[in-house]
Amino acid sequence: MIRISMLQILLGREFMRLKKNPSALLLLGMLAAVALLMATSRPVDKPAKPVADNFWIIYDRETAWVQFLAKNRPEHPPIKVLKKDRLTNPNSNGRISLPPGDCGLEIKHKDVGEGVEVSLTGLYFGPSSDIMDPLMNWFWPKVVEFQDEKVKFDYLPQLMGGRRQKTAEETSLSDLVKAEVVGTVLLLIVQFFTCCHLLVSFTSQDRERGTLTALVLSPARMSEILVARFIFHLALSMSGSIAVVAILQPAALARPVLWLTLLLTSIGLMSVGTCIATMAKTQASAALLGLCYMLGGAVLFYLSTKFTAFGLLKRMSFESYSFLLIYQTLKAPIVVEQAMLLGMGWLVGIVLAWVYVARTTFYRFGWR
Amino acid sequence: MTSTGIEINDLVVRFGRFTAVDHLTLAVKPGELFGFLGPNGAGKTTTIKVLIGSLRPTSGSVKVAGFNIPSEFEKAKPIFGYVPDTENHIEEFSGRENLELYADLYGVSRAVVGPALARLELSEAAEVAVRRYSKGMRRKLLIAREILHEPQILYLDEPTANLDIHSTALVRQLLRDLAARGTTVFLTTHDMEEVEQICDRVAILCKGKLVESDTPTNFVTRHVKRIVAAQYERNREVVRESLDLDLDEQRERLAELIRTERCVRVHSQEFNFHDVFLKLTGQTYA
Repeated sequence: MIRISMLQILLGREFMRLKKNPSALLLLGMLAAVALLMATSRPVDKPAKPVADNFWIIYDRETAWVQFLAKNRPEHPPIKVLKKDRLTNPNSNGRISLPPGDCGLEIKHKDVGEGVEVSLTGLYFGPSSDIMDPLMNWFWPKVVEFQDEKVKFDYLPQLMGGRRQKTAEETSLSDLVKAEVVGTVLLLIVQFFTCCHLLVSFTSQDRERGTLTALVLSPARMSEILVARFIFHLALSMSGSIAVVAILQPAALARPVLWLTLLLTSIGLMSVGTCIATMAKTQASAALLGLCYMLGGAVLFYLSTKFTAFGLLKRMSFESYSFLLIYQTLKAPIVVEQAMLLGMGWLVGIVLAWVYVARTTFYRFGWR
Repeated sequence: MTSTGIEINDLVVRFGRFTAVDHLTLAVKPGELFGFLGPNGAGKTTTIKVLIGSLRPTSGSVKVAGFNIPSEFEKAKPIFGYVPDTENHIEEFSGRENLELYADLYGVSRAVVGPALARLELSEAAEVAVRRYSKGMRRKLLIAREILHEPQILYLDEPTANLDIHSTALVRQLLRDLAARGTTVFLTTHDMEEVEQICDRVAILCKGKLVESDTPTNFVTRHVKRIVAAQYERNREVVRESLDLDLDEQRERLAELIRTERCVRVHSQEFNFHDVFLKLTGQTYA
């Protein structure tokens, strides 16, 4: 049983300790300063985004849910629903050609066992698939409304003219050099610093100085010490993230998927931190291991853009999914289905695996 | 509660093939000031670690104020204090802040912090960060921290290490006062003078085994040699001679010195606890 009064005392200790640790405060201040700098250095007059004249939903088979979509079309944006053979140019080898200024969504059905697999191809023009947002913001909730568990969706935006946009897994940092990328990187640094580096540093310092033993021998229980520590680092991480998002992209403050992603990333990084703090014998080795973890992740990200073999390893790191989800949610609001397509399921799974590993390691070796 | 403060029954602690504590049985009464002596590696710290629940024994049982350790460790925690041989303060906090944190953890009023600091003569340095404290001040702060909640049992590992003569006397008096008020004090030390001066009872441990346990007075009675030092004149020079009163020949020699009025001075030789300790643990001077 966790005692709230004991948690308050232990949390007070952690905050007081942070207050008396100028280097940690300085780094947090620097991160906020970078975010502020980014926000103030953005161009004031952004070029106007292109807007689609019409949206098309093109299907290969008239199913119940296609009929449902046709029946529930909104007044705005204007959406036309047509069977594919009525739009295909006989000379285009099956490719759909839309009128200039229009965008569309191609729906293809494939029977798989008892269910149906639906592949969705977004057909857009211009510099970004963001132009599809008005259509997709209507489309995804409708999919949810007409939920059929036997249907599996696979969405891929494609630039009209034959060039396909890169998938989520293929997207690299250089493709995304925007303010949102800096925001994403800043948020990940805040997460890493507060949830992994500080946790490892404070814990190994406590162990080396014997203060952890002193705490354990006091009436505070080990579970209370652990919970207080996790709450402290989570609070720090969320406060830092709120500051960065508020400065860089205030509109994103009200996007639940962003906070869910940040929460999961924090938990994942605290689990990694717990493992490092448990395994490392000294504060110096713990700090080095933490740094190695961060640099190792960065190297893995880079190598995955060069060699496909590393792509698999990258997919096993929860940070790769965190990066994409944070980036997308900073850019525009996304619904849960989109989040799942961007790897939310993988993020949850990998974070849970880390929690299990951290728990096992802690009970096996402990912090004392 | 049991009649004893600490009960150790047939305690064995092994690290692989090495036996650190070997079938140790010991009982410490409430309010007793108990000294735990032994050469390096004798198993003193290992025993204390078992008593504070930091180490699981290989076999045997340990009861602290009636609580089984480690199974009832959580229940026993609020009633004992532990002064380790190394300081474990939060360096960034001041002396007062360190003590206030522990007052909060033990659920006692922060009002006890001031008197505790004053008792260890740390009031003037109360607001100074601990990282600026000398070794002696840190040690005293550690003791102040562990007496805040007036523990039933107080374990101390080398409590007067790094302390000057005045502070040593201060701490010894404090320990005597605590014991007089009913606190069971269990201390390990290498300082023989400390043992003789303040301990009610002493146990000597060597290679994990209990060698002997008794009061310092009984130790003196049992191990003191009836030796006197006699100084007498010989050829206008003063000569000093030690004489064992248990030997007939040397007793007669002393009688003769006194009878012939050549003896200038006769005095008994002081009992040396250090010698007894070395004898019992099988050690010799370097």
